[in-house]
Amino acid sequence: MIEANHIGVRKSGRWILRKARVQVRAGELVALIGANGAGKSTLLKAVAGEVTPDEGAVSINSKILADWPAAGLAKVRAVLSQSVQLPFSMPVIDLVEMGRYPYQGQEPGGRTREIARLCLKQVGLSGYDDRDICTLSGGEQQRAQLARVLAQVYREQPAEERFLLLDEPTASQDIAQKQQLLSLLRKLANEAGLGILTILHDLNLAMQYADRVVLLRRGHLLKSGSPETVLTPEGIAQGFGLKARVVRTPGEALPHILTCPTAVDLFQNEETAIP
Amino acid sequence: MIQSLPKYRSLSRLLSPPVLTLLLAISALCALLIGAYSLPVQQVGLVMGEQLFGLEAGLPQTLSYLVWDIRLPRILLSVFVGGGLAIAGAAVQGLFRNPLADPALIGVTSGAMVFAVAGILFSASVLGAIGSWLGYATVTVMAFTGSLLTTFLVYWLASSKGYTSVVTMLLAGVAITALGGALTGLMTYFSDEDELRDIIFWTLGSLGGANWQMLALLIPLVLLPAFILWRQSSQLDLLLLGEREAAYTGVNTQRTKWIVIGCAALIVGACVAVSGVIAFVALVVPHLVRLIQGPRHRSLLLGSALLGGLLMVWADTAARTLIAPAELPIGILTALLGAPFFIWLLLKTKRSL
Repeated sequence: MIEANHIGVRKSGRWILRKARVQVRAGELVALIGANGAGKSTLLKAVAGEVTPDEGAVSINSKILADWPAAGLAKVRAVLSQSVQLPFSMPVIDLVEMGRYPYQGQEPGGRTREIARLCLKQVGLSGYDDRDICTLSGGEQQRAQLARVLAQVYREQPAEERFLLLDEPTASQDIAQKQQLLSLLRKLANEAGLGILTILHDLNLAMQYADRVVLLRRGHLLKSGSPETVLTPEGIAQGFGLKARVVRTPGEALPHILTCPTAVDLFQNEETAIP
Repeated sequence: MIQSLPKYRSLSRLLSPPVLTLLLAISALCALLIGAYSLPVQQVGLVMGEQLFGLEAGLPQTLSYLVWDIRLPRILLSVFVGGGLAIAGAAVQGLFRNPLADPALIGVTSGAMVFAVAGILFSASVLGAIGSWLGYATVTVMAFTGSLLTTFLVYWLASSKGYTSVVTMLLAGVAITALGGALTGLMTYFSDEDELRDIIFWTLGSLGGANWQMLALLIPLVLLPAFILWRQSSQLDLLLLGEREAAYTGVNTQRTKWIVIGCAALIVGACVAVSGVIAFVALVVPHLVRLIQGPRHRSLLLGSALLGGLLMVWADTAARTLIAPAELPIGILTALLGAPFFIWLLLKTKRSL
């Protein structure tokens, strides 16, 4: 399990994240949502270990991040950043194989390639092996990177809980691909038992696929819980300063969120400034 | 982004390590035969037999001297200098994630230059040893020291709190290079004619001073760091994704930066110390290999080393034969051929950097 408690991050003397907490269990899909600047990326980076929190601590599988050896940590959690640019062209399969770096010398090269192919298949890029990564569309590149990250935590017989940390993986995907991608994440959580923490912008995707939603606002944790309890008109108004309706259509299990054109004036509603 | 050229992919097999090694061996042999005095292959074979296996062939001493003490060390020197510069260039380009990076950018070359010029002035005015063995050794040692010192200065400038910024390192390298150029210019301005001649020859590069003692020093200083660099191949691959992604994947990025810079400085420092400034090899050769074999460092580093050695053997052969019995400085030749070739490559790929 990933546990991040009481996380505070300061940047040039200002707190950009305060008292944030998030838990991700194996097999669970947790969506991190909030307006731009709410601290989503910072929290994700703190969980990933890129940012060392000024307050609080993150532990993975009951071990504090600082105590994890680099290679060991890489085997239990993989991180996909928002955009990763390659300075040189290379075949897609090579990129995915690079994710197996932590297992180098521990598996034969042929096995590495097999795993890379498998991961490419999972993200819907079978047959892209020898394509030059630079010739792919933005969405395809993003999925190739996801395949690399999947390869990094791929294990035949997982001995420990493994996690994926994703920063807006649906960016530059079209509406169908967004659904496919989230179904894939859902499947990975259910079948492979991966714990997934992902930043999402699309509230409906969060509603449909997440087990839990963590809503941040101005560096603070606003609400956390099941999608239906967090993504309420009040929650959305507080978190985003946006009027929204949550509509239940007959025959569908989950409600839809419809946003309305008139925004709640966030600046009038300033009740909590960050201390 | 630099796109690889699909139509050159078939060259990939042609320029595989075994083929390149074979080409290198053949080129070295040809280079032994070609020169101001061209030699028939049997005679060269007899000299080699005499030297390596003690077979008495009753050859004239001058012939034996020409092959064994003049040409062979020089050819080996070309192989190691060319290969060393190219592998260091490839690693540094990977580290900086920039196909235009060159070890010269981190100050190695300009540092070597300042110290070498200071060495020339010192050996001329204090030791009175200009042109002699002592003077030559002074310059070599000074150049090597200078290249290492400047690299560490640049590395130190770019580091704070246990983190080294690659961008700051590049900027510091540019600044130090400019400073080095100014200092070199200043010393050049105040030097007399003999010193000036030496300085110019040194900055233009030459492999003419090759001998076995020099090789005995150079070879370990190139081979060992080159091997260590090659062992960092996977780490360098991941650094292509950026430092953050590499760290997420389990790479100790700080350690890799330190190893790559340290090894590149050792190699380039040693090469520059024995041969002066040889332009473009470290930039163009890795670029060419990357276009053909892709950016994975396991094949890139090896391919660059072999191709660098191969090209340098031919460049030096040209340098010593084109205007025989005089010699062209090899640095001029590599820049003269390398620059237009590089421009052609850029136009051919038609991609912005």
